[in-house]
Amino acid sequence: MVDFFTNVFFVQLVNGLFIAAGIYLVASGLSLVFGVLGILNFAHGSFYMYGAFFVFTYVGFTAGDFWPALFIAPMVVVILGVVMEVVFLRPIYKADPLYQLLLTYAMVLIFGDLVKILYGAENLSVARPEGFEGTVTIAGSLFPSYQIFVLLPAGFLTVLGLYLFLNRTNVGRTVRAATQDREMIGALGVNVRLLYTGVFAIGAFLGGLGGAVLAPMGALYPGMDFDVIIEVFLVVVLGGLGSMAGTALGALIYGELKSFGILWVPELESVFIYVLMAVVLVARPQGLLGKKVEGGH
Amino acid sequence: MRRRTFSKILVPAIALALMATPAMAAKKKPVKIGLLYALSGLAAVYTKGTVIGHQIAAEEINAAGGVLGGRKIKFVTRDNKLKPGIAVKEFRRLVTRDKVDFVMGVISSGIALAVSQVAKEMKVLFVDTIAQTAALTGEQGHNYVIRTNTNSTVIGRTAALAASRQDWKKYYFIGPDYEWGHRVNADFWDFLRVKKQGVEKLGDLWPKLGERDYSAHITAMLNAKPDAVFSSLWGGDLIAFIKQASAYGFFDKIQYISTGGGDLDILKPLGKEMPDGVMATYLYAFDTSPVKQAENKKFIAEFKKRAGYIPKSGDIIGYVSTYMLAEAMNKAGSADSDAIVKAMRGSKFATILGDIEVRKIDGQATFAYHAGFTYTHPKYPFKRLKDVTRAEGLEVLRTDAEVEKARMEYKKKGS
Repeated sequence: MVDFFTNVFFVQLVNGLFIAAGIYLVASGLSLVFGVLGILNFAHGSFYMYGAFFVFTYVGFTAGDFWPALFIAPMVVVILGVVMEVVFLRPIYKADPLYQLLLTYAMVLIFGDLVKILYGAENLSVARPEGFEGTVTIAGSLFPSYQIFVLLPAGFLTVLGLYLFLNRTNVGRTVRAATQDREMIGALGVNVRLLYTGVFAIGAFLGGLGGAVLAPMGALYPGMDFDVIIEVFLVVVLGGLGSMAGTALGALIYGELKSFGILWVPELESVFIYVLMAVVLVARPQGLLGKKVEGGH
Repeated sequence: MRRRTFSKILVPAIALALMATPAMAAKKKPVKIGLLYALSGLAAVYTKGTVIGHQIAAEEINAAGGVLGGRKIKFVTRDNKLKPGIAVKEFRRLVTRDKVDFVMGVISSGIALAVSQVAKEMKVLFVDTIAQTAALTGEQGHNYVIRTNTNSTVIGRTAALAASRQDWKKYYFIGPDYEWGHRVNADFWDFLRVKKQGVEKLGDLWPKLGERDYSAHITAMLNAKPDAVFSSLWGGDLIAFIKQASAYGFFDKIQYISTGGGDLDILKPLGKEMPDGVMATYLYAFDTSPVKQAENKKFIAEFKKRAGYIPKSGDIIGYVSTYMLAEAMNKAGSADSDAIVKAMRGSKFATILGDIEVRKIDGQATFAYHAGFTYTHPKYPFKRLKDVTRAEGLEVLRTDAEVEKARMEYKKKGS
């Protein structure tokens, strides 16, 4: 029994954290952008994909220098994000949400084809950085050192950083105010356009960072944007669209449920999370920590 | 004035020439072959090389005088966009509008099965080159379908044959959660139990296609302590799994058996990240597998010149199958579907990949398939394979009796 707890329970618990940290890195940007701009950005998966591919490019150019890419790749993604926001999203903020959804979906296709032109359609791989290829032993169990020393801290620091930014800085407070009442902060003299662009840039950075951090753990291919966006929506909807704490909670539940689901009923590993989402949506349509949407149709 | 007389002579001359040629032209009319592949989207990475393989073969054949006493081979290429509906429509258009003699293609089992039904209905030969579901020539087989590739049964069974020669007893299974994964894993397990006594299955894992994080799968398998893990993961999923698993020290503890892991689309991107000692299967390895070395070298050189990379399994299949069809047409003395089918089924072919036959019962080619162990090669920046088990098609295909039984069961289910 002791053996079960140390070897199996503990290991799956930590694995669940890996899954949660990875998906949180990507999902946090989507949730933030939705909270402030009210736009459900399908193309967020593209930011994740470009983050990963730019790491591949950077590591290729510098012959194996990985660490700067964790910052540079998301910054290049920010440029893409800002262009997208200024050129395409600005004119459409007041339009029907359906058009916004269509537009961001169109962006997914454009970004997707662009990646194929730039990188081809074959699978690519970024090697784990030197010194982080192997395993570390924690409490008698083996874990990949990259996940322990890079992925988990990146996830944790993002949670912490976003919390401090939104709660302890003036800009952050303004951003939070914008999630409550957009017109009012405009009336109070805040440059809403700039605020929107800024928030979208942060969202793009987080998406790119997610792709960059996760790049050494998987294959890079056009279509990885689609594969991640479903997971991301799931997590964000579960936690409550626009709620940062909700996204973190959603990611945790998603990761642990998946990890233990595989252990207990491997045939149904992906069913649990969808069942849970269905239950949550029926009982609490706004998600676990989401605000109630007022009015409605 | 002069010009007018000139045209007076010339116009009737041309008219006469035009009237005279039909009989001659009929003899020299090219053989038109429809090529139906997914040429846009993600699958294009596999099919572009196949089409180049087809073209190289056709150019060589045409340069040597063509087929059927001087008729050239001409391809009409169509994109099916990886959608069964479009593939079916394009197949019909190739036959009715483009007047092709027969059609070769396709990637994706779903598309192959859909197109095959139309081929049956139109009585036009469909030569499947890439899609590998055994049902195409087995359960849902008919007279007008021929496959110039291995099939899913061969893949699972070759791995089983190679594994049965090792002393691995306890197996864990992982595969993508759709028909391909379930089928190949079952093929492996059923055949292994026939070939080896006392093997034990510890469990199955079915991650979804496009899974991002395999941590939980990996540790679940590590906990069970199997001797070997059989995997039908492929493409990006396989790459992600290998990278993540090696970070857990997985490959030091468990023997990994990977279908398709010996092909270049996996070995090249992984490079040194592919562990040594993984059992990996493949149809074609540019450096070891072909029987006819000289022809193989010539093909590789030509292919590299055009495509820019070393040919993979699907690329050489385009080349080999075009040659097979040319030979069949010459034997049949016609490009007519019925005649080709008759000439092909039950006949032997000497290909670069070895001497094979196209079986009478199902039109399935008997290409050999391989399972080797990865090792670090001094020359290449990616892993190569050694200690290879080469399974001839007839060793690992379903026997005639098995095919008939599967067809009976399929019919029963349908009625």
